[in-house]
Amino acid sequence: MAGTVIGEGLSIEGDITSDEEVVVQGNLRGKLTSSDAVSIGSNSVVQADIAGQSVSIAGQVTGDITAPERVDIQAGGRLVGDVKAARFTIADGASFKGAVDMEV
Amino acid sequence: MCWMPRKLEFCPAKAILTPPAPPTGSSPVPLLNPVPAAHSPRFRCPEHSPPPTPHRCADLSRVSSAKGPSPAALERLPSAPPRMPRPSSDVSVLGPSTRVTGRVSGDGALRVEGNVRGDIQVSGDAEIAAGASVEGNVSAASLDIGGTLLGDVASRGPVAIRSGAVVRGDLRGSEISIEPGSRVSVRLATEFELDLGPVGPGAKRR
Amino acid sequence: MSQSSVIGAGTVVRGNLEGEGSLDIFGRVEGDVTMSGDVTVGDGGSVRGHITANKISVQGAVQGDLHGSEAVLLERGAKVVGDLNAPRIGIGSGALVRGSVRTEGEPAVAGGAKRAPVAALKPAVFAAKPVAKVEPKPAPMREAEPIAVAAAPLPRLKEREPERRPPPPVLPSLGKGAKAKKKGR
Repeated sequence: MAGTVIGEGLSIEGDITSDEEVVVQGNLRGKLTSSDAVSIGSNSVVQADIAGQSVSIAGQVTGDITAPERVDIQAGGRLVGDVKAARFTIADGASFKGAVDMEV
Repeated sequence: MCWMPRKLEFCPAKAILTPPAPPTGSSPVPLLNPVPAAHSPRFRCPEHSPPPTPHRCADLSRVSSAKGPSPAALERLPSAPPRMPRPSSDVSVLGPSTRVTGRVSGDGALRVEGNVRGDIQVSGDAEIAAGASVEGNVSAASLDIGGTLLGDVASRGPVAIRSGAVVRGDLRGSEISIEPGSRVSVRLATEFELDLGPVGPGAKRR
Repeated sequence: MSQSSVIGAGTVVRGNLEGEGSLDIFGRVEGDVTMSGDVTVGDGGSVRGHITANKISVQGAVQGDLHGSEAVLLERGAKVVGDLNAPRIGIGSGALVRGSVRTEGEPAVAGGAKRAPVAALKPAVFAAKPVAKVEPKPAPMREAEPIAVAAAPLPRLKEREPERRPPPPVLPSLGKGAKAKKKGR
């Protein structure tokens, strides 16, 4: 169970830092940094740079994503921004526009 | 919540999922939709509403309630998606190590276990757990403070300050309760009539 | 040692009350109440004045400030318009308060002497008591202000007795033209 859950009706304008898992189902505008997994729900609209251990995107995100472990864009997800991660997947049905650096 | 691919129909009599009969011999309806990723809650099973058209199977009367498919029935399906644990109703939680610098607003309830520096404005109930702190104004349907709050409160309902809480600011609510053991420096602006009876002769003038 | 007094439901007191021991108020008091023990404003009781005591429990109506050296507790049915000051404050669900509520002591100060020692309340001139409470507190000076401010009105108010009327002016009995007569001398 995620430590931090930002429910669907909630909007946060500002910076979020955390040491635990973060699930965003609402809207975020600002910056999100976690040392654990980050997951963006399918109804979310996020305008923020996201840093997490691993990041999973099923909603709309505009911002750069940094995750030492992996970044996954789910079907229905949409990312406009750069990705820096060791592993990166884009599911069939996802959208992506940006640069990718897999620390090769 | 349970998951059900859209195109299947539930047969209450047999308690299984079957594909609907093809309408006029046209191309058969695909059995299952490709199951989306577990994260996206696109499909909901009609848990509390029976299928709209009368089912072709007989003996619906034998079934006590035409509810959605039982979880067991779902799991028997070859490609049933894993049941995603959905957070209870719409309570947002800001965990103990989470720090938010900015404004939190929206619908639903909020439980703060970490730190918030900024205003909070939610339509539902708000709770500041013990150990949590909020520096900013809070507006909610009700407020339960167990941690630290430095800011004003505008609540449509009750405001409860628990023992161990530290609160500073102006509080407004329908009903305000403060437990002994809390440390407060607040102004209460509760609206009510105070009638001490008529002022007698020679009494203090206030 | 400490006695307990009661103001019954049908009694109305106009004037300041002070004394040793505790006091239960079920009637009406129009004046300040200063006791060394506990004060209870029962259901149906009302006070129009400040209350200073060790522990103050309110279930009735109060228009005035409440200063408890130990605690101020408002229960369901209480209606208070005024400021509350005590190390321990409880406002039960159903109590109505309008004013500022302060538990003494800065939240940042750890432990410390939040409660004024009960020993400070010795049978002595009452005016000195609230001021005496300030001294033992090691808390920063600005914490002393609310107490000092609270103490200030008490001596001032006590000096004024409600029944006293200004004495009628003494006028020399002069007839008409007295001034002229004087001048004429």
